[in-house]
Amino acid sequence: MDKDKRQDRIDDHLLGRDSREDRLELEEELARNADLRTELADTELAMAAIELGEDRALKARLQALESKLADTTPGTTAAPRVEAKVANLADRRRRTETRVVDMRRRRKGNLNLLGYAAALLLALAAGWWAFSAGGEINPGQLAMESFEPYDNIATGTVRGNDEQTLEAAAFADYDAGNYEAAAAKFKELPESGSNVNRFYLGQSLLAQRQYEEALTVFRPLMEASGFPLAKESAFYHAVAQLGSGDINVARSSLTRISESASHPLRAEAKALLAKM
Amino acid sequence: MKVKNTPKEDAELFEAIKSGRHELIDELYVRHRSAFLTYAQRQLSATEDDAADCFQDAVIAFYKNIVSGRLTELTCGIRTYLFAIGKRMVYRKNQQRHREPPADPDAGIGLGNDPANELDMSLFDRFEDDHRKAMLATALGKMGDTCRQVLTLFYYHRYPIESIQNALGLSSPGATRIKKMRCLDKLKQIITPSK
Repeated sequence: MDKDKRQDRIDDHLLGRDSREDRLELEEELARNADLRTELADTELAMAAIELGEDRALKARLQALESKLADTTPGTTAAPRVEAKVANLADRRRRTETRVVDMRRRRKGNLNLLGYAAALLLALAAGWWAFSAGGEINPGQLAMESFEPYDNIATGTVRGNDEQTLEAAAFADYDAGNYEAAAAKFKELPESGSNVNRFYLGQSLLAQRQYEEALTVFRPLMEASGFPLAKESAFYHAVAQLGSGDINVARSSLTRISESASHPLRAEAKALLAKM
Repeated sequence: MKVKNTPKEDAELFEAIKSGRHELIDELYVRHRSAFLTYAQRQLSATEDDAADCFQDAVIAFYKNIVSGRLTELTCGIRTYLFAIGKRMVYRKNQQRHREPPADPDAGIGLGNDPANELDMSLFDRFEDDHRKAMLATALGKMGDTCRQVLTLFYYHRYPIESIQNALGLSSPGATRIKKMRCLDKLKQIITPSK
């Protein structure tokens, strides 16, 4: 069982979401498997940290609310006045939120004329480009136009953490837009490493227009059972197909994605198809 | 902008909190605070500060019992629950301050029907070791904002992955799941750095 699924089971167990059968099965496995026991204990400790941290945050919020209320009315006997004051505050907040914003145009004098002239020039340039391109699809260009490197969701900021692993360095390069260095570092990570790292290797390759290599990275990911970014991998695989000039195959891959109602990148697939 | 209504009735408020509107904790507090403060000072010999402190803890404990699934339906008014929890907290605080424990004004009335009996009070008693408690409580503050929010929404407020995705504007449920996994790994590293 992979790490993600094991963690899901532990979460379900600790959050009381597992069935009686699942619970018994996990308890039996815990008796046999020391690693699983350690992971369960670590998760319990992390949950305790979350609980304590958020308890404090909620407490601080209520304390702040209390001092506002106490400032408004000393003593507890004037409760109705306190509640009236809170209601007034809420009313005032509602009024502020629904305030009508003045949308009247401001005079900008000659700036408007300059704007029209710039728009006209742009339109002429675009017309010339379309005419000279002869309406042909340049697959590599189209793939790049539609590609935006996927946000780094894999690493979060940890304050005061000075040690940097190779993985962290790869993501740091990725975040900085240094895709060549990022790809080199992702490749150095063990092949058996997480699918998430492979996914970002694929992203780094796409960003450098290395479509053929990106295809080989995304292909297994889109078929990886239980991989949370499998659907996204299928989309980027299609982008790599397009980039490598395989227009018809890319079109049918994108059509499949655009017809899947639950696909997270369905709108992107549709937009790309429209451009093709 | 869609403005969410504030539920008026107890049952409606209870359902709204259960469905994830944790901002309604403030509403709970404001709605019942002054009545509890009066009650705790007059009947339980609490100071105003202690009464407010206990009522804050009572509101948080009540909320946690809802989201943890321990309290699935109301068998009495919300105020009755909050007063029952708050009362126990005042007793405890009085004991800690070595005050003369006051007689329970409700003793003998409806014995065995205290609504706080349905609730898990251990949610507040779990961490007695202050040093360890402080270490754990600060760990979350060392995380980045998104990580802190993802973990808190998932493990504390018990949001489903899809709701976290929507609340934080993440790109897909899969991406949210991975974010949560990575953030949890980071938190474990902060708590036990040797791993």
